[in-house]
Amino acid sequence: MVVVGGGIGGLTAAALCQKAGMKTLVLEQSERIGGCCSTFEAEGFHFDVGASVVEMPGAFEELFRRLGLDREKYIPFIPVDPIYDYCDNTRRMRFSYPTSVEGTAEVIAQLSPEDAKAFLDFAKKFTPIISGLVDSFFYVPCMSFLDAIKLVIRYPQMIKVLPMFVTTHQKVVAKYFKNEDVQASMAFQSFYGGMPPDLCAGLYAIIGLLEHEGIFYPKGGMIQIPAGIQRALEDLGGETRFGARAVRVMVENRTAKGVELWDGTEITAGCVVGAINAKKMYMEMIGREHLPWHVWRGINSMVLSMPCPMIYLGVDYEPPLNAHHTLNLTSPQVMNDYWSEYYLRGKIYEVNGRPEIMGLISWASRIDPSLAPEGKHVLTHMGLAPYNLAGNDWDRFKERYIDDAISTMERNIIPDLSKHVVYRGMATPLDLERMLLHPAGAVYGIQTDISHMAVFRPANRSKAIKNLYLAGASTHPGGGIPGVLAGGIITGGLIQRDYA
Amino acid sequence: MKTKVLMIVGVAGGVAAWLAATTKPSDWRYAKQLVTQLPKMPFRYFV
Repeated sequence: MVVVGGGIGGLTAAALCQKAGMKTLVLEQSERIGGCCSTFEAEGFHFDVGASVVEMPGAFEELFRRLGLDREKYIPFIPVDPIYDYCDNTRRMRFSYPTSVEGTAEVIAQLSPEDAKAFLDFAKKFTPIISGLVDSFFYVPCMSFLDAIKLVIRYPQMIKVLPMFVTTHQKVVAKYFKNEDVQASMAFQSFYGGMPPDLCAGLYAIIGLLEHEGIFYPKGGMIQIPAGIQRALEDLGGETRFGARAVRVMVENRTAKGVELWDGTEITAGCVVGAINAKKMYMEMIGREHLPWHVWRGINSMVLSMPCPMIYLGVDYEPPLNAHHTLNLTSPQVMNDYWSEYYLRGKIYEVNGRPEIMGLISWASRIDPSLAPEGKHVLTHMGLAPYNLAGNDWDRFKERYIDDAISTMERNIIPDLSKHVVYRGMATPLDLERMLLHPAGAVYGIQTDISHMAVFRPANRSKAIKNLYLAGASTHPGGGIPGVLAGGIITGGLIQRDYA
Repeated sequence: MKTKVLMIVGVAGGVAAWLAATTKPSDWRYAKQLVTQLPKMPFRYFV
């Protein structure tokens, strides 16, 4: 079995198949494992490439349970608390949500006692549903309507969640919470699905609750996650090859026979796993000539998730932040306007003619000081910006974007930040496309709205090409670390079943 | 055949009427998005 892509999804599928006795080879085009979930070193600072924290640690326990290995030995986690710090310097407003539900309700009570009660009601209603959903939906294939029906039969409570697919994230938030700041703190998670609150399915509103199950950081940086799974794979006898860029899946009679590398080397295999963006896999590595017209039309119609430009800052002091993650408090309406008036028009968000670079600030060296030289710290800023800039391109715009982001952070969250920056770097959407081969820098793969979910998402077992399987953010259940890990578990399970 | 077509038209009409009655102006963007994606979903099912 050959796996194209050394991200979490591909490694997970490979480890599970290796455990089942298959001979597996993982091909990674770069010299570093993990794709978006990785860490690089620059001038003594260690920066996470993209992903910055682990939610739903149960997915890791599930993987290592299936591998018969001790997760702690391979990937040691450090608990992160609080989850987020929200900040608005213009109103001198600042508050943090701890992982505990009760603690968060106390914080919300300072803003709105009514909303604090609503939050407890929200948690009481959805926490058991989330547990059931995770068990019944997360690790189970959903490739056909029959699969979907089986899911509902296995977990009838899911019917309660179905209305959340036809309403929006914003409506769910507004139904429970009346205070604007509380709404803002609960609405931004829609962007994890790649859309603003008024365009994202209501189901995404429960992400804010999922985080209260605890969030974690792997000791040594995010790269320790793929590195840990890679070690597990190799301990089981599997192989990882770096600098091995696959350019084509060899297909005969709609059956995958192996892959061809950039240097012309052909690797034959009984089973191929594409753990890269599904559009790239089908449209570039397989090609139209091997796909039925309706499959081509289906994959061609899929929309990529939004790109997330990353800024990497090394600073020479302890930044005045309160949490691993800090966000500028932004109302849902501003998020929606940003999408329609700026993002879709290829523009950078502006307020009164001044660029306002919204994003998530991660302070990883707060949790793990080993990531920076003594007395120094690492900060990353994950933004949301269009791939195609109107009247500009990312290579020319890069330095200005960093300047604008630092100015925005200085105004809203970290005064005097620019005086303390001793290293600055950036991965633009174009860089992410070049480095990680994500089309248009779409790190969350295919968009995760209702029209790209479950049976409408590229299937873990290809419906068009025999012996081809998919893993990664583009396939079911979706992007983000827990989703990709679960997708790898599903794909690994399908291969085990098919080749048993 | 005629009965089947009438049933499909009836169900589609019912859904459309329900959507029109329950959708507020602020939801139109979401509704529009769903409607524009709807014709593509049958093809996505086969990927």
